[in-house]
Order: sequence, then C-alpha cells, then structure tokens
Amino acid sequence: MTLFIKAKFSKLGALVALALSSACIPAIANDLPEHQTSNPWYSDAQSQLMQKLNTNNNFKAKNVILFVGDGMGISTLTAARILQGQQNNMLGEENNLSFEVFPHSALVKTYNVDAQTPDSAGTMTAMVAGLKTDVGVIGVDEDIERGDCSTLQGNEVTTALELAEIKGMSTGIISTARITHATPAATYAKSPDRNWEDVSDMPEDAVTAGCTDIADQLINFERNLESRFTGVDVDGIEVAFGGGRRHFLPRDEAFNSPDAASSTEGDRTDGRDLTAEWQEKYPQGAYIFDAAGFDSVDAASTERVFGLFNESHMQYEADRENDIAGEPSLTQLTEKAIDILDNNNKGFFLMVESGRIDHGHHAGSAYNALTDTIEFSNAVQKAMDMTNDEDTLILVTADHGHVFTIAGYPKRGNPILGKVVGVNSEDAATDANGLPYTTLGYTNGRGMMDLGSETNADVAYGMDINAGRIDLTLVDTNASGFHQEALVPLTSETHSGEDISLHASGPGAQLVQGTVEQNMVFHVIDQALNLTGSN
Amino acid sequence: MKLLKLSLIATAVMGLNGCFLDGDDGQDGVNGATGAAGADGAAGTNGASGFNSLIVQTSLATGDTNCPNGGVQFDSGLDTDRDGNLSTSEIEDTSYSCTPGVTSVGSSELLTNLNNSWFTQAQAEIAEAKQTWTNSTSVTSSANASTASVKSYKTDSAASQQALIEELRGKAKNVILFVGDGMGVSTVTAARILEGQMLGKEGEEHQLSFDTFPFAGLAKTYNVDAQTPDSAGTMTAMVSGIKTDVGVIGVDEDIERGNCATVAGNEVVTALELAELRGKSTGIISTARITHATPAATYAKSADRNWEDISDMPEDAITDGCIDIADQLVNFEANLEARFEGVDIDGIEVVFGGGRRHFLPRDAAFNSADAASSVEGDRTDNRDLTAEWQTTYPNGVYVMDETGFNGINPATTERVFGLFNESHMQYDADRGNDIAGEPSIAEMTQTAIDILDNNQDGFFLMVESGRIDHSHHAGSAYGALTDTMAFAEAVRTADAMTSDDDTLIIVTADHGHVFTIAGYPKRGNPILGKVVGVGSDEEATDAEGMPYTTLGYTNGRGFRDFGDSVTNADATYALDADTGRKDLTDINTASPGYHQEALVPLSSETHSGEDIGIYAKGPGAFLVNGTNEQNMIYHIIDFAGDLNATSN
Repeated sequence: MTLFIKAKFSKLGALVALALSSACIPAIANDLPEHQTSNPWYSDAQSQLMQKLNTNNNFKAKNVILFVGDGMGISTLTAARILQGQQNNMLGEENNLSFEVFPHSALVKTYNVDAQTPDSAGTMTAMVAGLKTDVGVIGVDEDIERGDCSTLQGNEVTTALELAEIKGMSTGIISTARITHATPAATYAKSPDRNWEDVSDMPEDAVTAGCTDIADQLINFERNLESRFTGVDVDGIEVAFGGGRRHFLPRDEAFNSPDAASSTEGDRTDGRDLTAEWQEKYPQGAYIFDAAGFDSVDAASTERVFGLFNESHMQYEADRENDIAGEPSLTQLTEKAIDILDNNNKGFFLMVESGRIDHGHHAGSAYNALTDTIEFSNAVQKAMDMTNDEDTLILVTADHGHVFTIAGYPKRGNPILGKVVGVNSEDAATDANGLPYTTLGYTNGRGMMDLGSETNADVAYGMDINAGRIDLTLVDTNASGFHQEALVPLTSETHSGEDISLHASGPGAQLVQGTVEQNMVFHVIDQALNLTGSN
Repeated sequence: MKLLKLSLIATAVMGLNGCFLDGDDGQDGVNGATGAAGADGAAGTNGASGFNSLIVQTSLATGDTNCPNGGVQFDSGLDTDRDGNLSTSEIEDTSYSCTPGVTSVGSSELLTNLNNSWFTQAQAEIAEAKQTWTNSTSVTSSANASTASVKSYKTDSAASQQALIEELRGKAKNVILFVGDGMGVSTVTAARILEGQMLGKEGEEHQLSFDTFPFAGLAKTYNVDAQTPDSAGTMTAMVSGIKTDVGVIGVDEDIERGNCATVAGNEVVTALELAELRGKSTGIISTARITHATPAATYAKSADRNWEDISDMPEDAITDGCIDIADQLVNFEANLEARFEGVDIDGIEVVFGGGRRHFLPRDAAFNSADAASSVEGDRTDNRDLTAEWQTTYPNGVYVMDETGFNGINPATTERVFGLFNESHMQYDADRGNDIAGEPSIAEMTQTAIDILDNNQDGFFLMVESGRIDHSHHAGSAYGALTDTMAFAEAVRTADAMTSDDDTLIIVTADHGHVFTIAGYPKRGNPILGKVVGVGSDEEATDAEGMPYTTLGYTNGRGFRDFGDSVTNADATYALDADTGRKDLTDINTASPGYHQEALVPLSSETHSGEDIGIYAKGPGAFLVNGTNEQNMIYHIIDFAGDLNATSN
C-alpha cells in the first residue's frame, strides 16, 4: 500500500477505495440481511474501517503545522460543520470539516495550573512548550507570578518554534488576532503578563526592571534566542502574519498607515517604530500591511515577510470586505506562508491561529464564530493540499471551548442558526411559555442582539447587556447580526472548561491517542521533529 | 534556517583566493585600428592605472550581532583615494564568515522544560503511546511471545497486508460496550473533577477510569431525521452499524415511526445477536428500564421506542402483529432462531435492569415486595413475563432485589434475569432509598462478567448507565455526575476483571446535553460551587452583581434548592419550570438537591447535538480514532470480535 500513501491526504480516501476493490474486498457477510449490508451507512462505515486498518507506522516528520482554533470547542465544530454543509446545500450534519477526516484524534484536558477554565496564554504555552502553566502568562512555567517582572528570570521555557529555528528549519506564525495576542505570543515571547503587548501596556516597574514588551520580543526574536543559547546562530522567523500594528508603531499619527482605523494608530510610548526596526534588521524582508502588499509578495523569491494587516485584530472573515485597505483571508495567509517556508529543505514549523472564533463567541455571535471556523477549516484544507502526509504532520486543535450549546430537538437539516423545528413538523417548537427558541445558545454573555445584517460581532459591546429569554417570534435568527440568548449576564461570554479535541494527520500523528493533558501537543511535535534530542 | 549564512562563507572564501594587497597593473591600451595599407598607426597610450581593490578582514568575537559565535567580517571595495586603506566610505560590500551555530542545544540549556514534571510526564506518555501504537497494529505469535517476531502491520504487498488484517480480525474474544446515556464531553470533564475533589484532589488533573484508555475518537450523533438525536436511533446505530430515525429500535430508516406495518423487511441484525450466533455468551445491563431505548436496541425491533409493553401500543399495531419490547426480550431466543433458519442459540445469559412494570400484569396480585405503586404491573394482556421466562429457562435465576442479587453464585449460575425496580433503577446517589435495595452498576457489571466469562468462546456485554441522561433532563448536575462516577467505577471493574489481550472495552455516550462549565473558576474550585476566580476568595458576580455557578444548562426546568436530603433529581417534575437567573447568594449550590439554572423553560432539559467521545482499549481499540459517524462503533466491534460470519 506504499503506493497510495504517497498521495496527498485529500486523495487518499479515493485511492484506498479503489485499492479495496482489488486487494481488500471486505468479506461478504452472510448473517446480515442484504438491506443492512447494502445500506450506505453500513457500506460507507466498512470502507472507512478499511481506511483505519491501512495504518501508518512512519513516526518522523520533516514539517509540522499546528493549527489552533481559538475557542473552537466540540460544539463549535459540530455547529460549523452543519453550517458549512448547509451553505453547500447539504442537510449539513453529514458534512465534515476538512480536518474531521484526519485519521487520529485525542481529547484534551485544557485547565491551567491555577485555573479550572483556562485562557489562551496558559493553554498555548502548554501546547508549544510541553508543560502546563498559570493563566495569563506567556512562555514561562508555573513558578512565575503573573504581572511580576522580577519572577520572570529563570522561569522562561523553550518552545517548539524556537527549537525548530535552532535546528535550522524555517518558521512561521499566523494569527487573525493581533500577532502579539496570547496564542501567537506564546510561540516566541516570554512575559509574566499576556497583556504586555507593547510598552504602553506595561507597568512602570516592569519596564524599569528590564522586562520587554511582546511586540519588541517578536522583532528581536533572533537576537534574543541567540543570546539565550550558547553557540546558537538562527536566522529568525521567516513569516509573521497577523493584526496588531498598533503595538509596533509610536503613538504619533505621523506613523499612521493608510489602513489606520484610529486617529493615532500606534500605541507605543517609547517613540520606536518596530516595523522600521524590523526592516533595518532584515533589508531583504518585505513588510506589508494590506491586501495589495500581500498580493505583491512573490513566494518563490521572498525569503522573509512581516505582515500586519490591521491596527488591532484582523477582521472576522464575514466582515473582511469592510476592511479599510483590504486583508487576505486565513486561507490565503496559510498558502503564502507554506509557499515561502517550504523553500527550506530542512523543513519548517508553522503555527496558524484562527483567533476570532473565540471573539465571535465572546460577543455572543454564533454566526461569526462559525463562519470563522469554516474559514479555519478552509485554511487547513489548503495546507493539506500543499503538503504531503508522508513528511508533514498537521495538528488541528483548540485551546479551550465556550459555553455554547446545540439544543434539542431540531429535525435533520434544520438551519443551524434557526429556531428549533422538530422532527415531522414545519412549525417552530415553543418553550413552556409558548415562545420559539433557537438551536444554538449560550449559558452566559451579553445575550440577545438583533443587529440585522451586521457582520462584526463586536458591535455588541456598544449595546447594553440583554440576557435572559426574549420573544424571538419576529426575529430572523439566521441573520448575520443575530446574537444568541444567554442566561447569566456578563460583559463577555466566557470560555468553558470541558475537554476539546485534537485532530492529527501525517507522520507521528499515531501518537495522538486517548484523553491527554494539553501539553502533550508539544511532545507529539517533539517526537516527530526530534527537537529536544530526547528521542 | 541557516543556508544563507553558510553560503556566504563560501563566497567569502572564494573572494580571498584572488586577493592581493598590491594594486593590479593597469590594462593595456586598446590597439589602434589596422590602417588600410598604410603605415602602422601610433601605439596607443597605456591605460590609466586601476584602483587597488582592497579586502579587509576583521575577526569577530563571540556575541557579535552578525556572528553570534564569532567569525570574520570581510569588507571589500576600491581604494579610490589610493591611500592603501579601505576607509568606511570605500566599502562596497560586507560579508561574514561566521563560526557555524549549533543546531541543537544541550539538555543543560533546557532545564526549565526538562525538569518540569508536566514535561517529563508527557514525555513518558509519548514513549508509551508509540509502544501502544506499535503493539496495536502488529501481530505477535502468541505461542511464544518472547521469541516470536513482531510483524509490522505495514507491509509491502497488499496481499500480506490483507493477511495481517485477517490476523487482527477477531483478536477480541470478549467485547464490552459501555454506554453512558447523555454523557457528553462536558459531563465527562465535570464528573472527572467531582470524583477527583471527592478524593481530596484539586480535581482537574484526575482521570475517570476510561480517561486512561489509550484510544479516543469522536462520534457524530445525529439520527437520519434528527439533528439532535435520541437514544433509540443512536443505540441502533452503535449496535447495528447503520443510522436510522429518531425513536425507532432495531430497524432502518425505511421504517415509519409508530407504523407497525412498516417493520417487516426493515429489521436489522445487532452485534448482540451476532455474538449469540457465534456461540458467545451475551449480557445486557441498564440502570434504566431494561425495555428502555438503549438496552432495547440490542435485542428488539420496534417501530416505536415507547412500545415497552402491550399497554403502550396502539390497538392497530397489536392487531397488525407487532410485539411489545418486554415480550421481545423474554422471547429473544425463539425470535432469533425463527429469523435464522437452522440456528440454535441459547439466549441472553445476563439481563439486569429496571422496568418490572412492563413484565407484570396490571393486577395488584402480581406486585413484588419492591413495588412502588399500588399496582406494579402495566400489562393489559394478563401475562406475567417473569414467570414465562422462568418456564423457558428452568435453570435461570430471576431476581428483583439486592438480596436476590447477592444470592447469585456466578460460578454455578448459567442465566440470570434481574429486574430491580418497577420503573428505572434509582440514581446512584439515591440508591439507599430503594424499597428492597438495588445493586450498583459496578456490582451488576462484576456479577455479569463473572457469569459470562464461563464461556470459553467469549462474551458480548452491553452496560448502560441510563440515568446520567435522566438527571440532566431534570436539571440536576449532581445526579448526572454521581451517576457518571458510578458508571466509571463499573468500567474500572470490568477493566480489572478482563485482559487487554482478549477483551475490547469501548466506552461512549449516545448524545450529550446542553450542559456547560463556565469561566473562570480557579483551579480546584468546587465543581458544583459558584465561580471563584483565580487569585480570589470571593465569589465572582455577574453584570447585576449576583454570584453564578460554574455548571449550567441552556434549557430545562431550571433552578431548585431541595437541599441536602433530596437525592432524587426527579423531584423537580412536581414543580413548575423556574428558569432564568436567581439570587444564589445564600444558596448552597453544592448540595445534592440543588438544580442548576436554565435559560429556556422546557418541561425537560434537552439532549444536545455536538459530538461525543468514544474511549477504547484492548484488541481493535486502535480503530477508535478520528471523527466518526456513530454507527462506526458496530463495525469496530464486528471487526475486533469477528462477529459477522463471513464467506471465508
């Protein structure tokens, strides 16, 4: 079966099915009635079982791509799968997101050392450094005291991205959030507080005690890493794409870009323009900030690129066309990054975060959370298409879930954003008070908003909290601007504490098994790339 | 990547080869053009002297910006002022020959990682995972394991791979399918934390028995006609390998729910039936009524899950010849033999559950000592199916209470039928309040395995914790989580009694519930308590200043404060729904009688539609991975147990 293992993953299914017709015909059942064995549910499952039996015993990878859907819990996956299917005129439930066909999976315990329900800083540090730590801290172990600069020294940990750099691999980070936000920051920075995105966010004593802000650490990543390890000479991160320009520019409107949303785009109070500093360090590198700049990057000849496409977070996918100067999609960012990174014959490590699934949920908008999840799935598909599952390990996971539920009992194919219509019914089901209710809901947050065709969930923060039950009889809950009801009124809907999933394909993916602590993700990567030399 | 700097070294060295500090001679002048038959032209003038090309090498110390490990800097350019020195303005190019960097770092430089116990524990688990995978996907001759060659599953030829597949097929002599009804992923996490906290731990780091199983996958639970499913359609998928409609038992999607006439020709065969055909022993256990959807799907074919006894059926269904579910359980052997010509099976060996009412006539004379109602039985056909069962199986033991259960000798008992409650068995937390006493799900599992493993051909056992679901429906996390813990204990018991070499254990749910674990409690905060944030000792408050619980539901009957004494979640049904926010300031939300708040008022909290977990160990467990349609579970059981007789 070596023959079709070489095929790209997306084609594997079809090839296996073909091969089965000659080599692996499932034995003919004789105890079951024909209407059972010929039932497509039955025969499809038999084919998939044969695919599972076509096991991969290759453990070592050249490239690793870690995809993180921030806040993409299991209920989000299911709902996004149904929405994507329905957008493609399927009933929806039978659809699969791109990575749901991956052969290997695990459930992941997400808690931080000091938090039952975690945040992205502690969880991403676990995933990229191999150990759990406290909530809110970046690239440091649990001996840190959050916000105390003096506890930083000696507690910094080393990440998979850093070890990949040292090994001579190309590296890249992509986020639709600010590139200084917790998830991407955990790959490159060490900070006692996730909020120290630029110097203006830091307390005075932290600055005087010598802590540096996260944006500064991104720009000086190469030098910092070299100074931490004897004899190391790295060439720095090749690809950094995200939002967060404000943390790299001085608080001076003279430095505004044409894409500026605020009158003064930059936040930095130290007068430094880190984008210029980056350009000076890397004269061959391309700094870009909008869709036109992005499109002009020639992946074949560009050795290094730094793209900051928004003052703060990049737009929700559904809202992208409203960006001032235009932004690439997560799929486009992923494609360009791989095109550049794969020029290195030593391989690459790429981290891709969809940061705004989380933000859509926090704002109480299932629409934004799910459409960003669909775009995330598209980005994974692009990576699958561009790489070979013989040499590239792809991991897709979340950092934590959200208090987001899919209620009973909608009939099959009922619009996932709609109100519940039961099996064999055409009418909206009603609650004990006679009011219709939606399939999707939150146990806390800002609650119901009827913002019509709005595609930016964050508009909710400009409205009063509106928790509890509302009469939805006349409300179009399928509209992009509808925000689901919530039980407990909070300024922002919260993360949730239940396990999330890890999906894996490629060499070393077999070690993704069972129920694991979240820091296992690093060790799967380490095993595949032999980063720490321990295996 | 380092390619760039390494190539610069080469360039720099090549440059050195042609390097002289003296200036080059000026070029010869260009020859004049040849005159046309004329005299030679005058010699051309010499060209002007060229500038000296200078290259200056500077040694760089360790720590240099461009060469962190030291090296040499090469500045080159033309000595345009002819002073013999390459001044700064004359430098046209600078390159570096850096001492190469190391491409790995010693463990002494990774001590913050390597000395961390989270790190070392995970590293050990990775090594274990590799071994687990290799062992699971290769075949070792069992005759002499120490010398036998382990055949790698991945081989060069399709034919030999097929041979290995055949060796892996049927490696599970025994299969146990555990179903936690309504045990979604959030329930597993919350129960894990509660069990850990009851053991004096912080909780989050704890593992339920099946959290330690080597393999886990996800299952898509929808029914053919329902986005959010029910137990009838989901269990039919798990035990028959096909998805079907909501509410129907052991039939495919061509059925019309409730229409008896559509049953014939749409019945499907289950894993339990195949195990019987293979001569294995079989057993079913449920803490719900044994005629309830989940257990029923293993043995019955019914157009409606509600046809638990004849009094539940419409008249036309009876006249059309449909049979109630209780009847189908008692007559399972005869029915299966009638469907397969020439087959002689011995019927289900172990049946433990509730639901006595569906087996007894509606006549107080048939009440058991454990009766809860004045007339225990529901049957309107005057049949006593417990007596009929005893007549069919004179050597079988019928039990109805804890004493009877404890009297079973598993070594000598070949068959047992236990109906421990008129309706569902008690919630585990409420078991002490049962009239005649009930065994726990772990005790039932232990006795069942003790009986079933007397068969050298192996066994198939299905164990359902049916009341995790019921407690969620009632809005009681306490009941759901304590039943999940009792379920996990049953799994632990089964795991301890069987060998990973010959027993596949699959633990899963049929669907989830709209049950959430909110932010942001600190580590170790009581899972049934109110949220207290990291670094705080005070309860967090909502936008209106009120505390809120970690656990909650998006719909259902809502808040109750029944206090410490009420351990039966069903007490909620006597009261009207009471949804929305409450002031919980003075409420002990950790008491057994507390029911969580809910958003949408419904007569019963609903199932949810998101994927649930599948956890597995033993032969074939490695096939439990990825995201699957729920009916895959049957196919894994079929493969591992080689249940479906095949043509070869």
